[in-house]
Amino acid sequence: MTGKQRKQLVYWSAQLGGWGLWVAVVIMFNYLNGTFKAELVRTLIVIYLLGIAMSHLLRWYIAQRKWLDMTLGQVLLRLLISSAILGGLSFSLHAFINDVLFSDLQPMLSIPGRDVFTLVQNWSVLYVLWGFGYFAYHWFVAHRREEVRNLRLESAMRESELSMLRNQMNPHFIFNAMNSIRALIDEDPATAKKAITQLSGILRSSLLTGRKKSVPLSEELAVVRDYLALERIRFEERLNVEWNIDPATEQLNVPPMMLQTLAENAVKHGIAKLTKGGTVRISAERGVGIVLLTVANSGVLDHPVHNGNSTGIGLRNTRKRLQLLYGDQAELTIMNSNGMVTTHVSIPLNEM
Amino acid sequence: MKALIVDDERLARKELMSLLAKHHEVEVVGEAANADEAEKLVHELRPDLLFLDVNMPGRDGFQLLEALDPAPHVIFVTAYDEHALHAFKVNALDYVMKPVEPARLEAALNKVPRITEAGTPQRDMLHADDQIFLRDGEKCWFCTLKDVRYFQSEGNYIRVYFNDQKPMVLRSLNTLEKRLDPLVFFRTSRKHIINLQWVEKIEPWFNGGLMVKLKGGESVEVSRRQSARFKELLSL
Repeated sequence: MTGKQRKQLVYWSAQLGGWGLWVAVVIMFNYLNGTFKAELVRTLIVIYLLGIAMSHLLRWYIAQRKWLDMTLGQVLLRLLISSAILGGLSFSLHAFINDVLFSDLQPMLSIPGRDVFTLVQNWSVLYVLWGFGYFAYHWFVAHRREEVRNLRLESAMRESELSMLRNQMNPHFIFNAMNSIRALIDEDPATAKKAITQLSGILRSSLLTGRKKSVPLSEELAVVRDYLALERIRFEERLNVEWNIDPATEQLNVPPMMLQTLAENAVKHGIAKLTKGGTVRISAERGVGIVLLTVANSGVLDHPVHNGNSTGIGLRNTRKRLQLLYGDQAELTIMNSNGMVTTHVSIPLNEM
Repeated sequence: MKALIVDDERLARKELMSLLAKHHEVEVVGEAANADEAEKLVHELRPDLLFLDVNMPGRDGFQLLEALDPAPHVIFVTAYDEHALHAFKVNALDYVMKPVEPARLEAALNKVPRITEAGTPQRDMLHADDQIFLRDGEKCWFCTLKDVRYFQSEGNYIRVYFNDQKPMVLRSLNTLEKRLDPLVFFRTSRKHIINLQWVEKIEPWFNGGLMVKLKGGESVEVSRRQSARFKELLSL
């Protein structure tokens, strides 16, 4: 069954069932009062069919005029007016049918004005109730749909947050660091203690990253320092680190864990691949309206757009982040120069 | 049993050494920081067991194994390389994760077959019980030579038929032939080396050649030139 067919089915069952229920209530009411007569059945059949036809007309009008897009106040006013008109129309039709078809029953076209008003009012109340049911159902469905959509959106966001976290917490690095620290506990307990503190620092900041849009460069540098210190424990003399930080940049805002990602890339794809090791050079400079971060490492960039390569993924994620945060104002470039792979990131200035 | 530790990180090697200290059956005879060093030490020291890090600068652990015939028993030691380890199609390997859990290491050591004879498996001639390491694209195998039905030359590559596998590896049939036990393996033609233990039936073929049917169902032709030697070998 398609969605449209299901909607039709729901509508017609509610329509036939609802009016049927009304007829049943009337019969029961009359029966209990002792006013039930066989003639009443004919009248009720007319009312039943009239009600269905008129409310179907109302539904068509609601759809035509797009009442479902209106506010509650607008709908309420329109529903009351339409119900009054439909009430009058229904009474007239009922009276006409009654007088033409059922000559044995009491004629209705000639009944006094006060009774007419009561009968029209009865019809109108039914249409108002019908309208309440109709709108309640639609709002309920819309609300549920909205809820499902929100849940989906939320889970998509969670998922992306999670995958970002996973990317940040490079498991290879963490387990290697743990392994080095384990060996270090016998060899040099003081350094081992320091290493655990450094590892905690990195884990903490990578867990907090999801919540912050930017951090002062000094904070980010502290993470990178911890990270490179740990990698130096692992790679020992194979990793040489050089810093070139302009003090004027330390209070500038940068996206968290971005420089860190670049430093990780430099170690993973540069130093770890060199038998004799090499140098990682980190620098931060202030330009006109920008802060320029540079991470360079010994080695040669092999195929910058090599598929399935995690360099590609790391860089692509970083580019995506920059694009989301700064639009076209930020820039990331990577190139080979003088035996070093150099990554430049320029971010628009945003002082604290 | 003599073991060699291959890892580019000094602390990682040290950590493994200290874990191995209480395993008296394992004697660590050397350490290597990269594949080149390891290859040299394997030839010099002839270890029975290799503790091998997959990720190393230069040639990685797999590339080292490709250069070693026969492949020694290997316990991979790795930080986080599910991907690399998934490369294995057969359960002929064991691995431990860094940081290494002592119980896990013990379990891995228990799986290494005990070497009964005084000699080591490292010798110039490849025995039927020796294993070789094969890599075809992303997939890797440790393959025991007695399981190989035949080798087939395909350009610069050879295809190795064993079990239900037939990986194609970059090796030379000529070089391989020189190392294989001549009582087990026979060069039937320029294209093939067969394992005599897999021969099921021999039939005469055109031009005085022979057709050998193997137990796996395959048929391999013996060239006319080799047929005489083949008959001679079988009559022994």
